[in-house]
Amino acid sequence: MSALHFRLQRTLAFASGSSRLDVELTLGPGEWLALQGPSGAGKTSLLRLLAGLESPESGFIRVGDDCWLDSERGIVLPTRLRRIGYVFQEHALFPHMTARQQLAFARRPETPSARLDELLELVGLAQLADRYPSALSGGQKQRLALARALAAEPRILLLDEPLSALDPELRQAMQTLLQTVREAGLADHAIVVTHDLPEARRLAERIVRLHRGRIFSDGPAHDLQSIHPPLFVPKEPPCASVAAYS
Amino acid sequence: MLWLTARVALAGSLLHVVFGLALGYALARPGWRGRTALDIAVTLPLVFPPMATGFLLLMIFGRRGPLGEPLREHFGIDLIFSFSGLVLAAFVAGLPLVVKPVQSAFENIPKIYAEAARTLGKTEWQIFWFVLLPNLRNALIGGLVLALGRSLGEVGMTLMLGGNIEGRTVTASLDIYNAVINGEFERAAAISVLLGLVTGGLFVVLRRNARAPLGW
Repeated sequence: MSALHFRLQRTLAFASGSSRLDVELTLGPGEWLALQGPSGAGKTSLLRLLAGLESPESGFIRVGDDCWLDSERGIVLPTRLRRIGYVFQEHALFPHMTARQQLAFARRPETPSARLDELLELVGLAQLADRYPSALSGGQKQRLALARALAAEPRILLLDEPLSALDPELRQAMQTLLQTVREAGLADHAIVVTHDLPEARRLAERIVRLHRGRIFSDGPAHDLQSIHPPLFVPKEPPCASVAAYS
Repeated sequence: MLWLTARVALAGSLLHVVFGLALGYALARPGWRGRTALDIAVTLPLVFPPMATGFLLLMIFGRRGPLGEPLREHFGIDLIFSFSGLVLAAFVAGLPLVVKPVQSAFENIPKIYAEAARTLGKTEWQIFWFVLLPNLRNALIGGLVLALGRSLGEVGMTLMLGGNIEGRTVTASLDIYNAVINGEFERAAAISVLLGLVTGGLFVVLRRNARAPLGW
């Protein structure tokens, strides 16, 4: 596992005006981070920039020795090569694929197909593997979206309010599932957007709060008193080498 | 005549699949130069009288036309008064009926599907084949069925581009026209019933397709 270090800058436009997203963070190996903040703070935009679904005005993303983005050097790794597992708020499940087909589609060529059964088992959908998303409940869809993201063997898991639409019981079950994923080390890093503080503390080791595109507070999830604004200034060039992917 | 009609319908449908998908995809993407002109060109056969469209195509693809002459001289392709002319007529007549629903389907597929597929490491080509295409299956098949029905019943453009040459360019619809002109009403009725059965069958296919789950 390796560290994730990024700085991303972009103007966020809203109906009521605009603000500038400027966030720099370093995540240690295996670290899970919860991202909080009011609507328009830039949480989803940050995830989309990390995934390469949107382009920053400037910034860099470094995962270990690999460079995914360096605007100064003109390096932009396309989304498909970033090894991202993105769980969208709206699930984004393909309506024409069964649960198993969604995972098979996401599977990397070198991953054995038995892994799909393990993932379906993990998220409790082994019995529903042949169902289409339209025949699944909200909680089942969310679990399937997580399993699909994991099937791609991501280095970074990005979860955009994965539990927001669930009732309290399902939410609890999904939190337990995410904890299992975290303990199993199925992704090098994870960034979870959540509005719920107890949930953030349960899922992540660290909580970062955004406000108007800036980091408002940053600290360990277990000790809210010690959260403070970050003062990190990078001393080395953002990207030492260009990532080589096959 | 029936075999010729079937060949024209098959060739026209193959062209409709290729050009319907390509043009529908292109027209669904906003903000590029020439999009409006292409949209008008594709839609024109739907609103323009078939005889006038046929005449326009005859002027363009005729032996002395701006496209017909180079096609004949450089590639030996003679579109007018030949099987190719019939296919061109069927293709042009049915094209908007395929392109428009496909374009609309492309526009209505949530962008998030393609984004999700990108995060799963898929190329744009894989996204097109495995994510977008299955989701516009109903629109494509519906459009193809309508276009096939339209091209089977096409007379105006077929007359202009095919020339109504006995044994060479007389399709089923033209044969009905010829039979009526010659007073052979029984023959006209028989072919009409046959065409009615084929188009009725296509309508059943269309209805069944709309109820089936998405995908192939």
